[in-house]
Amino acid sequence: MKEFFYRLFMNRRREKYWWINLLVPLVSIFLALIVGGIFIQSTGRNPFLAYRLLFNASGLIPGPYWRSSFAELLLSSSMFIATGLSFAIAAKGGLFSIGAEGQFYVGAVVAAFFGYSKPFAGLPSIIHIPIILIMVMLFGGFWGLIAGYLKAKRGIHEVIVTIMLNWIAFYLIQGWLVPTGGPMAAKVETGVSGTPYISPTAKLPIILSNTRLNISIFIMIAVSFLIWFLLYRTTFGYEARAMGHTAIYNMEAPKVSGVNTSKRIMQIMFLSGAVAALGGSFIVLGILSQFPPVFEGGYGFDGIAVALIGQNEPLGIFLSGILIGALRTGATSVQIARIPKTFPQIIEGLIVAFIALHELVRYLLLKLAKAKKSSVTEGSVE
Amino acid sequence: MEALGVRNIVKQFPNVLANDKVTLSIEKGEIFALVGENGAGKSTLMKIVYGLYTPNSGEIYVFGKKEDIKTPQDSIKLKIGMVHQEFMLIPRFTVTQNIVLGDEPHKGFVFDYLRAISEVREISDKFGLKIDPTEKVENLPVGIQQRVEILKILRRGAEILIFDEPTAVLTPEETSELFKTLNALKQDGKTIIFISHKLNEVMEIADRIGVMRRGELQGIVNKSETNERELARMMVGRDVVLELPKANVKAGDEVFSVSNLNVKNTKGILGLKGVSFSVHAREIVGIAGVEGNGQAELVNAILGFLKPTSGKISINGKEIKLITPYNMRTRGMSYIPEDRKRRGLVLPFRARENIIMGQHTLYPFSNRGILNDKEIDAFATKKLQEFDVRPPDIYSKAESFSGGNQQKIILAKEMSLKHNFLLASQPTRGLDIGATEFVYKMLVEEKKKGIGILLISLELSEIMGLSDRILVLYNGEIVGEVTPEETTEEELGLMMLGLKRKERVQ
Amino acid sequence: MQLLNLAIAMMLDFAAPILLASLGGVISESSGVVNIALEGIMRFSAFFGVWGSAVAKNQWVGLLWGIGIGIVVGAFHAYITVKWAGDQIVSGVAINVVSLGIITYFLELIFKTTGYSPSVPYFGSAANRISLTFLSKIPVLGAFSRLTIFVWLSLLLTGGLHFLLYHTVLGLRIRSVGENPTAAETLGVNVFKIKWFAVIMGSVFAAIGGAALSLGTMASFNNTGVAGGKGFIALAAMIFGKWTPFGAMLAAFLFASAQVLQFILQATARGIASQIPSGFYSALPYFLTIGALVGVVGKAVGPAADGIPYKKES
Repeated sequence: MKEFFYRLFMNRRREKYWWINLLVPLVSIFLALIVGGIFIQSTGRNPFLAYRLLFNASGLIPGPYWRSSFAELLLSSSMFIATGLSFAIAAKGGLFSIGAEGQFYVGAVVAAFFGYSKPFAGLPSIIHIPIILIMVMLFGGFWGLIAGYLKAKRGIHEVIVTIMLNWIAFYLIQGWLVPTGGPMAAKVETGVSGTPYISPTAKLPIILSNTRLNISIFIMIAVSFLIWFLLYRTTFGYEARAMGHTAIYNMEAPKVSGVNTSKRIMQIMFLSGAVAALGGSFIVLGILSQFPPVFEGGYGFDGIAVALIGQNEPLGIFLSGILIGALRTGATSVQIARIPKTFPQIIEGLIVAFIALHELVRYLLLKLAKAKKSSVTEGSVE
Repeated sequence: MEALGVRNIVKQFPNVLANDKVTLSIEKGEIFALVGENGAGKSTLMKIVYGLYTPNSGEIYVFGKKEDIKTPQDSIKLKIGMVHQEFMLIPRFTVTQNIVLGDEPHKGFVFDYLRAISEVREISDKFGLKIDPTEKVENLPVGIQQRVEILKILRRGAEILIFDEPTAVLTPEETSELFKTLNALKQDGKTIIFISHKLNEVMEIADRIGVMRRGELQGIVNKSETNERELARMMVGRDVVLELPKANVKAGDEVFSVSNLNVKNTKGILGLKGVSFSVHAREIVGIAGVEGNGQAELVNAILGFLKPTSGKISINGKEIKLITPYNMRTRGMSYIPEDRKRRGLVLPFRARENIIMGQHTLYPFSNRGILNDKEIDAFATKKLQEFDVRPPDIYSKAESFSGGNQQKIILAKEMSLKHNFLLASQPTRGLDIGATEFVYKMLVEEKKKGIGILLISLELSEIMGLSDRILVLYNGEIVGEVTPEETTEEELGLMMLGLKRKERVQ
Repeated sequence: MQLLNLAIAMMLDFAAPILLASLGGVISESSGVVNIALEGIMRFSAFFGVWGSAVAKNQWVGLLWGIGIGIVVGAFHAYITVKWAGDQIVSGVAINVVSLGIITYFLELIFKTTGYSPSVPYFGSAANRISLTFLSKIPVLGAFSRLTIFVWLSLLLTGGLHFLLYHTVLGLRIRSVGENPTAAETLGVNVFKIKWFAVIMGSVFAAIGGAALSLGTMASFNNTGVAGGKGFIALAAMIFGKWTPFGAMLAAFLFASAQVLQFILQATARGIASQIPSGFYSALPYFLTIGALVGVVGKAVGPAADGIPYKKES
């Protein structure tokens, strides 16, 4: 532990103004809120009211209905964290995956299938849930592996393949598996549209009574830690990061050192798919209890934003996942201020924009830091 | 008449004072050489003159007038041209497109390619620099690429021509060809600034010589009044004898061999034709040749990046069926790559991370896939000391080290891998004298330890000084096999251009 | 024969927005700036196009508004990626995400709805189509007898962009900046200006593509349907077409043909074929795209300096 802090701080201290790097994301969030506020003001609505409503209902700030909104916050955060990590794993390895959306779908539908179908549905939760999660990760991982295989063996750009696979997943699920008459559709006589409801043994255990909050957030804490461990404490992560850093050079440095990059690319994409699919399973096992006929997605694409705000680091993604989860949880309440509930997405996008502008943010902060310093020294001279 | 004057130029980079109050005056029609070690600040000074860098302070005079040069556009207008050390060419463009870029013949906004071609022909005839205007630059050998660079600036009407280490990639013949061109340009009344660290060349071509060390101008001397030794002392600040300490040890068993190797390069052209040779323990085999004559294909075939169409590669007498870097390395190969930044290092990784690459999966650096930081740090600390890497900070990122220290990190890494064959591909490329000496010492020590070394180099002096046997590569073929005792640089140069062949020494 | 013409016309209609956005990607990436914001830009301009058309009761004004917002968003992307050398992917994602939130906001603010905008004057109405009646009876060419302006624009701009990139001074400079900005800089090419121009131009192309989505065959803005991933398909078409205008056209046509084929198969399926679930038909174009990549196109190599922020050493 001592060593850990030594590394974290002693190391950074070598660089002058190292703390600015930590400040950049925070300042970006702050600036995004300001710009968002100005935008609301300019459309003739009250930004202060909007933010008060937003944050009161977000689950971040204790208040009257805090318990339930806090639960909802963590519920949605766990899905954002999953898709965010999925993007980041690939990005660390030098791969640009837009595939979390499709993998999320795959995860959701696989979770529904193993949640309701027979031999499994009778098992006790303690066996049933792990089986579901393993199957979800296998299928999601496979979905990611397709892009990884084509990249590694055929040199085909992963961006195209992941985009195409998103649509293929979407159409196969919503145009074949789930609609009435499809292999996974509930029997007409049950009156249920979409897949049948999952067995109670498949539902993720609730950890906060009278809310929907379940163990998914714990799962994501563990997964975030495991991914951090994998990336920074293992030879696999070491190789993956080396590949990511040298992607513009065709990963030549790790290659000449004997790293089997094509095997790693496939493993990375598998892992990336598996984690995104895990997020998809949460929506079925913890919220919807089935795969509905109309499935509202978007978690996969938001995952990219989550990962970028979290600087592709597991801890950062965990925090930014909580932030985005909070914005989404509070979203519906802003309608009281006559603001559409998609407003938080503007904030989210603006945060990402300021992250992209980190050079500018850094520049401003540095100027601020230097100005302050010089005024302090001047003061002491007097 | 003064063509170019710089007064009190100061340039501060974040970590280093690159130019410290440099004042120079260069006469019209002379060849002025600027010498100094890598990092002495000579390139920086010229990049300031060319408008690529902005100085912190100081003034520049061009033909007697004080000028404010902020961008290359400004310097081009003032008839200053620069041939950069790393060629500023676009490989996918044709010769003509490269030459006219930035000042294109046009009809309205339409690019007049035909007129551009004829203009290029015209200018190449005028200066006697032959070239095919419609060929793509990526298909040209380095010497011709340099010709494209020279034509580029001549077409812009440059009167002051700056050459940054122009001979680094040339053969002796190409170099003397270049010198002829330079002299002809001088006769034309052009002013030439020649940056180099090769003193023999400077003594041959320059009229006056300015010596730089650590950002400061040490002095300016007339060629007639100086010698290489004095220049070297001014450059390094001490007496240098760049000795090539040859160790006469008896070669042992064969450690590496290729036989009848045919390799197609990425363009589908046979880049290596029926190449066979072997390397023995305690032996340095030098591969001489002009860049682009099969060196890249040879290295990439040995690494498995290019699949040979026929032939075999063996280590320790055993043929390697499936050639991958991993298979080669586990059977005893180490590799000093020709391109440090691309192949040798992961630049954003710290020194400690770079130094274990390739052995990170081995005990004690990792156990069952989990890294052991303590062991890695201890190892890295030890190695940085042993190889005198400065600063000896294992947490610094590789990109923050100087070129010579980066190379030392690579050496430390490669030498600590278990190996008995070393593939050293241009191991001193872009290094200063100190680091070059270090590499030479390393190679000889390796040899004494019993390691067989394949040394691929473009520097003839290096090949001559270190090798026990020399193979000459021309156009993908081995056209000669000689020992340094029985040959001369001139003879090697002829073979490198394919003008002479020499039978294998039995 | 009539059916063939209809199918071709349908294909062209479907391809136009994708092709236009894809061309936008080609010009931007030729200068070395990756633009994954095509999707967001299309969404922006689709909405502003409808808004403009509603305000002025004229579809041309709508198109101009769409182009206008394209310039604004392009300038935003250029400001981040060129001026501040920001990460191009991050900036693109920012635009995509903002577009999702802000357009709904505007839709509510201006049209008091979060679903469909009201219908506005558009280019697809019978009167506004470009009529070339003399062609209508000829096979194949008949498909071109009643197209919208967007199809013609997409075809013309493909040729135009090819000409620009490969036969003009500006095009040479744009490509040089995407290949080796430092070399271009040393020859006096203003790298930053060129990049600004290419990014904004690219954004304008994508914006025209976006306007095609709401003012082409549709007459309103559908909040859930626009751009519905077409911007990403355009991105894929650009890579598929190896970063060239005609390549992008080929890719867009291939994809659109697969879509039309899918419609026809689904509509005309008999016997066992009609038993195949619609999802398979819908997924067909995407399968075919991957198949084409695996089978024919293979590895694509973009401009050498694509995606790498350019910073002038100082």
